[in-house]
Amino acid sequence: MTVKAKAVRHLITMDDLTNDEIIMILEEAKSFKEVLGRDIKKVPALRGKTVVLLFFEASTRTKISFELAAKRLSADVVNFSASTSSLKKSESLKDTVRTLEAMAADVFVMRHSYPGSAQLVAKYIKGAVLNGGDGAHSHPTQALLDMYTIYEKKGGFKGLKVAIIGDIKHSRVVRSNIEGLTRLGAEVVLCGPSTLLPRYIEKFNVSVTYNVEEAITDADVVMGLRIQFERQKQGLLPTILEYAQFFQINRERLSLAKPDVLLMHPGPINRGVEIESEVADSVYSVIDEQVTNGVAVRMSLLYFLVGGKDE
Amino acid sequence: MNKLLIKNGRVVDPSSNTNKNLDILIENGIVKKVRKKITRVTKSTKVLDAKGCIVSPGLIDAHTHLRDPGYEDKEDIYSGTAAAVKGGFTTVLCMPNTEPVLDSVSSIRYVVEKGKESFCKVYPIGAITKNLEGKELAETGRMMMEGIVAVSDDGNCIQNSAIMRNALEYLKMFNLKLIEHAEDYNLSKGGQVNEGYVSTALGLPGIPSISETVIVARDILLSEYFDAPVHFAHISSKRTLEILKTAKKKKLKITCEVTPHHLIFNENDIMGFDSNLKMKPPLRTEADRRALEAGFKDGVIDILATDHAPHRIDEKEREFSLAPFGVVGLETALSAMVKYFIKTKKMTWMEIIDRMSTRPAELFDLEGGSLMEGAPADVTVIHPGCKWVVNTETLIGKSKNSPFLNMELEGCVLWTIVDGNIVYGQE
Ligand SMILES: [Zn+2]
Repeated sequence: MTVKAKAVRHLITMDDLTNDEIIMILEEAKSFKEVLGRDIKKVPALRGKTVVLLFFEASTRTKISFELAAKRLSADVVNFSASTSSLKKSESLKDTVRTLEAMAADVFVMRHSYPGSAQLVAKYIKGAVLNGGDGAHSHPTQALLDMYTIYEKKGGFKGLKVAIIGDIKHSRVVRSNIEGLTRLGAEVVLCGPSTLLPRYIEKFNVSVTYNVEEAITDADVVMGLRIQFERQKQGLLPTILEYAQFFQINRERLSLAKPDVLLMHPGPINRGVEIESEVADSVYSVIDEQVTNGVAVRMSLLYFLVGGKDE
Repeated sequence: MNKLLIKNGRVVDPSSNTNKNLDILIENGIVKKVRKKITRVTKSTKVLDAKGCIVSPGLIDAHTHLRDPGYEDKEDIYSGTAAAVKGGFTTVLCMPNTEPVLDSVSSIRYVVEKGKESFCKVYPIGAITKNLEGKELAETGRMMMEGIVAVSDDGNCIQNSAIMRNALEYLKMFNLKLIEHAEDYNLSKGGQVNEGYVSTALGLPGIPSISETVIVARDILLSEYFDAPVHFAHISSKRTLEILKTAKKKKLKITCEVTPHHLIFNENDIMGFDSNLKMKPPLRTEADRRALEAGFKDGVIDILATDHAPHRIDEKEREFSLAPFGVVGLETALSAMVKYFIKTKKMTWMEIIDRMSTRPAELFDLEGGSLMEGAPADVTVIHPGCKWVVNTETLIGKSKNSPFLNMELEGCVLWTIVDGNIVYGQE
């Protein structure tokens, strides 16, 4: 009996998933998280499958998370790292990817500093592309792990107020989070210095404020984003000190949120800049759990894209 | 004697406001007679039957990048002019951002000489400043002696207002127009697409439309103050158009052009990261596009220009942020106008031919743009009904980076005639 090949699914942006699929992936992640709690943290779900980690931009955390996820599913993992700067001079992305295509891998996890790169790669390969972040465009696995963390603690998204605070403009996470969260019924409030809010962001079904207290008040989730020191050099911020004074998530401000507020951050944190150090370690903080959830969600996603039910 | 008779066509000639069925007799490269019926011809006269066709003065493109010398991998003077005549152009003005830059007598001589052996008339545009650096003035006078018809640092923009002032004042001696690529680098720095909804959605750095408008405003003021003409290349935004309108109302020496792509596409078309829609200035919003369309129709925008900017496929296949800016346009400009402006009844043949032939000739003081008796016999015969699909096979230029790829356009050129010689179409 011949089995018709399953059409290749990519995950480039949150657009590639329906609402039902998002919930399904989060539910599946629950069982994978349970696996991660066992003594033998491995299942054979992806045995015989090959996952290529294509990292054109250094990102140790994301890479480790994907690698662990793939290995715990018993997949074979191949690492490919190249800095974008060396790529710029010599081999084109297309040629690099075509070479790797010869390995007949099932999934290409792709990380790149330029927007649209994951989509470009999807044009040239037969395997599934899982976007691990393409510049400031999209980072769906981070969004899904954030969503998982909320889902696990709050049981759903409808009616939740999620405040995202920091450098909205340069964040690779925020667009995917906005899309996922608003589609599932959460209310998203963005807050940051006016120079770090991109134009027309209000058209993305969110509310925007420069007032951090207003953003945090009655929030169910408060998410901090990393502030890069180079924003000062670029003339977008006068000083980091002034940023902290106006936007830092500190104990006093966090007390305005719901009593069971979750404090999140995609990491790595600049303690004392976007989040007050003691708050980052407080009972509200789920920042460390986000890391664990990241592995479970990525397992769930890999399984969703190439899980072997049809063979 | 070399004679050619174009019979039964509808002659649309804005220079004489003619729009009727007429025959045209060409002798020795000159329009000899334009009459209702020309029958008495010698045996040696070649006859072209233009029944059902539009007979237009040869189209003129005031903004072409022929990439020659230096970037012949993208295009050269032969391939570029072959593309031009296929698109109905009998004259192209080529931009100086080549390697070396067209900023010297020898480089201008090279283009003029090679142009003579190409398919159409090629007039070089000289650099305003040496090596397009925006610092020292290039030898405008000496380059004029070799045949430049305008100056431009296109691709670059002189940021220093004092240098711009010197250029404008210096050019007055030579009666040459300065063509400005308006872009404030500090505002556009690092940008990839229009700053707005799309740049935010795609996470690409934006090029705000104000980066164009502030330079246009500056140059209008300089032009007024020093009483020197400025022609603005490829204008892209509504606000830019508004201040141009004001300047024109004041009868300042200001003219401008728009490209087919800015008239037809908008920023939303880039949502799929198609680098064949990446150019400078970037595609703007639908509101901007509509304003350009209105300005093109009412004449605030003087001419259509292609900004034909060839790039190799592999260069365009890179990550969007690494792909070069620019799209080709010579082969599609006319057909795009037929499909999106004439067939939709937004504009008439007379208006389109005016913007693509007669006005460009006037603006840059060129021969052509007319089919009146005595004019040089540069003629384009257009079959308005035919449809064709733009793809890598139908495009004949070296580069295929067209925003119209895989789209169907309307209107084909049957014959392109330069100085009485058929340079494109069946003999
Ligand atoms: Zn330009």
